[in-house]
Amino acid sequence: MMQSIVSPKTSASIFSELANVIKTWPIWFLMGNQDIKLRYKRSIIGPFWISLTLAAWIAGISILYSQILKQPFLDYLVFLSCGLLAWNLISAVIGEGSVSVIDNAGHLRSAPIPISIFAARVIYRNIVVFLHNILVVVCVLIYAKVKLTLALLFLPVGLAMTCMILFFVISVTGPLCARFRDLQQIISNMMQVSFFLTPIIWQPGQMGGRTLITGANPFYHLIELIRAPLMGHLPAKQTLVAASLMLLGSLVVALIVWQYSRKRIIFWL
Amino acid sequence: MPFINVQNASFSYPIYNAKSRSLKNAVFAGRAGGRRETGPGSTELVHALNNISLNLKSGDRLGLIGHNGAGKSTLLRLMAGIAHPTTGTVEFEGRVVPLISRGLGINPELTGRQNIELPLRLFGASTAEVQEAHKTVPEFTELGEFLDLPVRTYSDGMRARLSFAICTALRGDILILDEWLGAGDAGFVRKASNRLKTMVEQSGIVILASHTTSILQQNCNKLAWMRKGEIIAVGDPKDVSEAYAAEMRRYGQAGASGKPNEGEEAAKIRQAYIDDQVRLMDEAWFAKDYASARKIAEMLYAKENAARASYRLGTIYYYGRGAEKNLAQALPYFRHTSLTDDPWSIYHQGLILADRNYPGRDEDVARNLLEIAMMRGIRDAAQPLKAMEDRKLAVAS
Repeated sequence: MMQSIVSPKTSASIFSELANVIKTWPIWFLMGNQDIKLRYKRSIIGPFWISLTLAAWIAGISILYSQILKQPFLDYLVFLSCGLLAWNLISAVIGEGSVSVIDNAGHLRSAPIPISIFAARVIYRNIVVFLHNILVVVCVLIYAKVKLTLALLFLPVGLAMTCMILFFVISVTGPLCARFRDLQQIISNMMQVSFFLTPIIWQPGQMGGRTLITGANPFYHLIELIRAPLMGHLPAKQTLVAASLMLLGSLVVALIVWQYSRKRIIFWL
Repeated sequence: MPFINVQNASFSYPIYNAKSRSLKNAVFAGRAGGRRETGPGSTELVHALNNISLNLKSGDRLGLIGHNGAGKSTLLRLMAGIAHPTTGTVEFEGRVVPLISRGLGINPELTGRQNIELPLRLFGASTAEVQEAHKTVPEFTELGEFLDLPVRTYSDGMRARLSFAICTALRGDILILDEWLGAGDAGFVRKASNRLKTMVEQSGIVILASHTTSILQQNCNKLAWMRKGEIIAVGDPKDVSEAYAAEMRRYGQAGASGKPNEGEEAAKIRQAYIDDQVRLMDEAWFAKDYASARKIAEMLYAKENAARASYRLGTIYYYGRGAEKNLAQALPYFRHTSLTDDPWSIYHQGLILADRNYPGRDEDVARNLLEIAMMRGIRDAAQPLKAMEDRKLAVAS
């Protein structure tokens, strides 16, 4: 039997939200599975449409841009597909994360569930999508005869780090987008611009000596956590430091937002 | 042992996105709704609940009655742990099953069977309970093969069955119900109310908000009347609901001449109350409990001048059920102004006017009335018409 005390004075411990997310895993796991099932419900190849979409993107951009940017085709193909794989994960999570609370207002109004269930649902769902996408990238790597190195072992670590950072980020943006409805538009604009500002279709080396645009770009580091091990090397030290700082920073902000929004979220829906 | 302890709980919420005061005033004016005041900054605060204290222990069945916007649902959400009090405390122990919105967690694109798990999980069900529900829900809903079709192909009644069956598959210590007892289509209602009754019996504490006084009287042993975010009376369900109904009547009459919006609202509640009592009355009548039927009918006729009650009184005197048979007394009840178009009333008027025991007998008018009733679909009128015709022929020959 559980005992709950709900009052403004006895605030729950700051990590209770994290504990709740783990405790409520059957809910977000089930929701995520339903999301995937529904998205491709009446199509013949089902969730493999995810893979196919990425393949089409990679084919289209790599053929055109390797010419425009005068890059060797195979090298460019590998760089682009690893980058797009990571970017798809990041942009989908941030885009879907910003509406995760608004879209689930009905649930929050009728059942005593923690807000971060919906952030976890978005992350889980997009990991499933990522696993479909990585099949395409594996094909590309085989086609381009990229050698397997020990750096590949870093991939799960990099993916986990990226997902944790993204989880904390959307735990912040989800409730805030419910409170400030303009924020969602701002985020969606920002993501579109970021796609072109981040080295995904162009390589960081092409910027000459100007490293600020990559070094100060959080998306660059998030992508590198996944792209570098796939391309056979470990992420740069700078990226690891930046990612650790981002993890810590986003965790702190998420804890603050959880604490602040737990009692107020019901007003914002 | 489950308990709920609400101490001096208040709940105020800010209104966002309100562009102009006038719009807000329009929405929140009048008696429906909590008190409001301007909060810090430019946002406006609505005091949905004001200093509520309640102490519920195992065995308590609390009903909440009151206007729309009196704070019933807010109080339920507070007790369910969905909302948190602004000041004061809400303590509870035990598993809470809050049945606040129908169709929670049900996705129309998924099949009925696929939809069983999520609503239960949202209330914290264990895997064993979900498996149990996979057995009981198909049995209870009787949806058969439909259970493997997407819910969007269901009729409203089937949807209601499904969501009702799922949400009631869970056992909780504290059951919170918001306007739930009227759920389901006609054929389902009896089954549903039986199930709910067992659910209520098995739960330690039940809190139930409703507009329907009879439901509250049947299911609760305590009734709280809420107005403007405060509990203004708690006590025996019968006493409180009668006081509430009396207030609604006064209010309805005042509202008709006063502000139109309030009148409408009150009229709705009053009509719901009348409908409810009429239902009880007819149930008693068909269950051959004529004394109770008469009691309700007389009360409704005297206090509300309700047409259905008038008709029922007519039948009570016409058939001599629950009162001595008296045609002269029955007739005026069938002539109630709101019954002039009612075929059954016309039929009964015809019967009385054709009856040889009735001193004011008028066969021509009776024949007319019976023919009208006949045309309006009362087949029973054919037989007395024929009898009159036969008598006329017999007299002529």
